[in-house]
Amino acid sequence: MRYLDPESLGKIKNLRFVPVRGLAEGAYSGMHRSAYKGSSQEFMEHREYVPGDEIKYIDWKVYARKERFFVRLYREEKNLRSYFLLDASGSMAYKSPRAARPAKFEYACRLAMGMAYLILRQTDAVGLGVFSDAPKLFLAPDNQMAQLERLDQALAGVVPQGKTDMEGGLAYYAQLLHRRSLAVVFSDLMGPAEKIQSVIRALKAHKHEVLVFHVLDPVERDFDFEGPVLFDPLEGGEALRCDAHLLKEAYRREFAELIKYYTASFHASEIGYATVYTDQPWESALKKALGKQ
Amino acid sequence: MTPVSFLSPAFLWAAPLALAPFLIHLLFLSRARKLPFSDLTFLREVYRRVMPRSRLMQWLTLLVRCLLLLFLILGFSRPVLHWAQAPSKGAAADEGGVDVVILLDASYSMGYVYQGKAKFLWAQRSALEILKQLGDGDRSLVMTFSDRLESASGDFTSRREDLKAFVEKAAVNLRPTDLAPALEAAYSALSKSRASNKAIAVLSDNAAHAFRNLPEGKLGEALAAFDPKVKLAGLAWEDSPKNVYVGEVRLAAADGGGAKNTLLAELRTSGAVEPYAEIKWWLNGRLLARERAPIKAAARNEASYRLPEAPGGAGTGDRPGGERGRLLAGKVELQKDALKLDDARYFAYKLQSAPRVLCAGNNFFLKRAFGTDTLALFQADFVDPRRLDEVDLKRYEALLLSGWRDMSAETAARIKNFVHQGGGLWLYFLPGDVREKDMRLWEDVLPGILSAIPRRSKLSGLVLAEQMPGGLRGRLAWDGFELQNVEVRQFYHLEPVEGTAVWLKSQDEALLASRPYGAGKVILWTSALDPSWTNLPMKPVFTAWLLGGLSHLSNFNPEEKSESIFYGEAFIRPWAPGARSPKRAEVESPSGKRYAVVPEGGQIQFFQTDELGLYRLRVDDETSAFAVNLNPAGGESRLERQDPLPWPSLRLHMLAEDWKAFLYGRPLRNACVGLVLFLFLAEMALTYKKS
Repeated sequence: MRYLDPESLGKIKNLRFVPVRGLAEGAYSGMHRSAYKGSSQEFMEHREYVPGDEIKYIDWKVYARKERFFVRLYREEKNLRSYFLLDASGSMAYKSPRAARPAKFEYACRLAMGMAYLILRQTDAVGLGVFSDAPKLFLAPDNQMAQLERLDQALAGVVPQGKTDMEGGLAYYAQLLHRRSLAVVFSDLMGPAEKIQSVIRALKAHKHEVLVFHVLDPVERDFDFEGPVLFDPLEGGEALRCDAHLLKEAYRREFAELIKYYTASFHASEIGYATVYTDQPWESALKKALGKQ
Repeated sequence: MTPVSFLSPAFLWAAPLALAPFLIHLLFLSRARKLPFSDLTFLREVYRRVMPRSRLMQWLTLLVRCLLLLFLILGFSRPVLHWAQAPSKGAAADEGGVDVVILLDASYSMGYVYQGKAKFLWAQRSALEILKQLGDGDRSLVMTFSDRLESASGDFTSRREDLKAFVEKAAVNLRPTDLAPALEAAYSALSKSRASNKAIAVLSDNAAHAFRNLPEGKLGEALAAFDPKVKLAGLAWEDSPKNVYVGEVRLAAADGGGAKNTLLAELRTSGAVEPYAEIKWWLNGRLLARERAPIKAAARNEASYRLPEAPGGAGTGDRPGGERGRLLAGKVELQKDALKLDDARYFAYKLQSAPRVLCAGNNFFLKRAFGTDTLALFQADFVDPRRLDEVDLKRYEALLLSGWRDMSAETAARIKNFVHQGGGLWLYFLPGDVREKDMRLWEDVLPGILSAIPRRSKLSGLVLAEQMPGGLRGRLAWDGFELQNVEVRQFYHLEPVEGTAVWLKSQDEALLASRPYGAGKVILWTSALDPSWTNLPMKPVFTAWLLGGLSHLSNFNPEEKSESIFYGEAFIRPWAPGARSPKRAEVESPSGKRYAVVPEGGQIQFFQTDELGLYRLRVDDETSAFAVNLNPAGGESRLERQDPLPWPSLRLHMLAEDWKAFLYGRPLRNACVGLVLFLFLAEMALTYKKS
C-alpha cells in the first residue's frame, strides 16, 4: 500500500482507538454501546411481560417477589461508522521547499490510513470523503479489512488542488453521514477561522463524534523567511510581495493565537482537536492524538 | 565664504554612499525571491495589520542608517564652522579683519633635508600657502629670523605680491636660531593692530635650540603673557632628525708630549645616528685620508689623524711664513647627511718654526738635554767659544754662553749687539772660568753685580721667586718638579740691579735672574752646569728649566695658534708693537673673491666672513690663512625637537585646510563623531529583537 507500510503498522499495532463518548448506531453488532435494546450482556431494564415476548427473557426472581411476569431487557451493542474527511485543496500540497518532509496531504493520508487500520481491526466501519472547493470522492463505510486496500487506492488517485471550501465540502458530507457516526477531519484549516469552526461545529450538531487533525507544515508555524519574498499561493490568486523579516515576528504571534483559538473553541464544543506537524513521524502524532482521546 | 567648510573636501565625493542603505533596500525589494506558500489568507491578514508600523520602522531604520553614513563621511571630511570670517574684499583689517605675522626660520638648521627637500623650502612653501589663504582685506607681516630679524615691509600690509616676492627671495643663512626676539617683534607688531583676529605662524623646524632664550617649562604661560588673544601655530614635522657633525678640531701630541703632530676632531651627534661615519681629512687642498669612524650616540666621539713627518711631508705643506712659521690649513669632512652645512669643519694653525739656539761651549748635559723630546722643538748648534767670530749670530734666536775666559772685546761687542737687536743670551759659568777682567767686559749686560770669586756654600733646594713672569710660571710649571732636591754647592753671589727679575733663588741667594737688554733678553745662571758645582743638570727639572729659559729668550710659544673664527665674526690680525706696519693686505674668500684690506690702527680687520671655509690672507709678501666655521654656541646642529610645543601644529600636506581651521573656525569633527555614535545606538535600538 502506498500510505501504509508494514514497518508503520508494527509501530501502531498496540494502539487502540476508543473515540466514542456518545452512542454508536452501526448496522452491525459491535463493541460500542447503542441506544437500542437488543442482545448483549449489558442489562438495561425490566418490562412487564406481554404476550409474544420470549419466555427465556422472563425474570423468575422478580415473579417470585411480585407474582407478576417481568421480562429482562438488554442494551444492544452496535459497531461504529467512521468517516474520514480529507481536505484535498491546493494548500494541502504544500511542503517546505528547504526540507525533505512530506506534503501535508501525504501526511494526512498516512494518518488516515493508520487510523483506518486501527478502526477496522476492531470491526468498525471506515468510510472516506475527499473535498476541496467541492466534494471529490466518497467511499461508503465498510468494516472489512479489504476496505483498507480500497482506501489506499482511492487516496492514491487524489491530487490536492483547488481552493479550500470547508463549508461546501463538509456540508455535503454531513448529509451523507449516518447518525451517530465518527467524523475525522484532516485539514490545514486554511481560511477564515470562525467560518471553519462553525462548519465543524455543525457536524457535531448532527450528533456525530468529530475529531479534527490540523495538519501543518512547520514553516507555516515558524515563517522562517528572510528578506523580500514574493509569496505565490498554491490555491491560486494574487501573489504577495513583502519583506518577510518585517512580518516574521507578527506572523508567529498571530499564528500562535490562531492555534489557541482553534484549541479553545473545539474544546468548548467537545470536538477532538490535534495539531500535527509534518516534521514529526505520523505514528507518533497518531499515538499522541489517540492518547488525548 | 560659506559658514561651513571642509578641511578634507575630497571625502565629500563619498557623500552619495550615504544613500547606499536606501538603494540596497530598493534593489532587494525589486529582486524578491518567489516562493510558494500554502495559503495567503492568514498571511494577508497579518500583513494588513502589521505592515504600516513595520514599514514606518523600516523607513526610520533606513533613514538612521543613511544619516549614520552621512555623518561618518562628514567626520572624515573634517567640517569647520566659521565663527570668524575674513572680511570681504576691500574691507580694512582695522574693521575686524585678520592680521597675521609669518615668522620664517632662516637659520642653518632649516637646511635639514626632509622628504627630499630642505625644511626651509617646506617652510617657504607654507608661507606662500598661508599668504594665498588670506582674504583680500587681510594684512600680514612676513619676517625671516635666525638670531637676526629681517622683515618684508616693517609693518602689516595687504600687498600680497610684495610679501610673496620677499618670501621667494629668502634663503637659509648660516646663523643660529633664536625664537625669543622674533616672537617679541611679532607680538609687538600685533599689539598695535586693531584687527579682531590676530595670529602668528612660526614656520620653523621646532628644534629645541630655538627656544633656549624662552623660559624653560613655562613656554605656554610666557607666550600667553604677551597677548593671550593672539593665536600661535607652527609646522608639524613627522620625522626624528638625526645629525652627525664635526665639533672642535685641535692639534695635539700623539703621545701626550713633544711635538704636536696629530689632528683631533670631535664628532658630535644628535638623535639616533648610524654607528659609523665616513670621515675625510683634508690638508692644504689635498685629501690625506678617508676612514670609517665609529660613532656612539649621546657620547663623546673623537677621530684622530697623525700628520706626516715634516719636512717634506704633507704636514709641512707650503711655508707661507717662511722660516718663522708654517701653516696647517684644511678641513675635516664627514659624509653628507640630512644637514650638510655642519658636516665639515675648517681649521688653520700657524705653527712656529723651531727656534735655533747656539751653545757656545761643549757641555755634556746640554747636549743630552737637546736630545730629549721636550727640547726637540729647538734646533741647537754647538760651537767652540773661541770660534764664535765665525758664526753668523743672526741665524739664531738665543745664545747659551759659558766660555767667558779671554773673550775678545770685539766678540763680546758682537754678542751684545746681537742681544740688543732682539736676541737672547743665557750666561752660565764653567768652573774656575771667570776672572775679574772678564766680568768687567759683561758688566752692562749682566743682571746684577757678581762677586769676584765663587762662594763655596751648600744651597739646598730652589725656590721660585715672585719676580718670575707669571705666564712663564704657569706654562712651564717648574714647581711641578722636586725643586727642593736641587743642590748648589758653588755659585757667584749676585746683587741684582734695577730691572732685574730673579726667577730662582735659594736661601736668599739669587741663582737665576733675567733682565732686558735693548730689544733682547739676558739670563744669568750664577752657578755652573757641572756636577761639582750643582746637581741641577742631573735632575728631571733640568730640561724644563732649559725650555723655560730658552722660550723666554727666543719668544717661542710651543702652543700653536688657531687661526679660526666663526661665521659673521670679524677677523683681526694685530702686529707686534714697534713692528713695521704692513703696506697692503688682501683676503681671498673660499669662493675666490678677493678683498683689499687697509691695515690701520695696528691691526688688519676683515668683516666679510659670509662664507664657510678657508680664507687666504696676504700681508705684503707673507701668506697665511684663517678658517671660518659655523658657531656651535647656538646648538644649531642639535636637532632635538622642542617637546611639548606651545602651539598647535599645521600639517605640511594639509596646510591650507589646517590653517583655515586654525584661523577661522571651530572644527565640527567631534560633533560628527558624536552623532555617528548616537545614530549607531539608535539603529541598534530600532533593530533590536526581543528574544
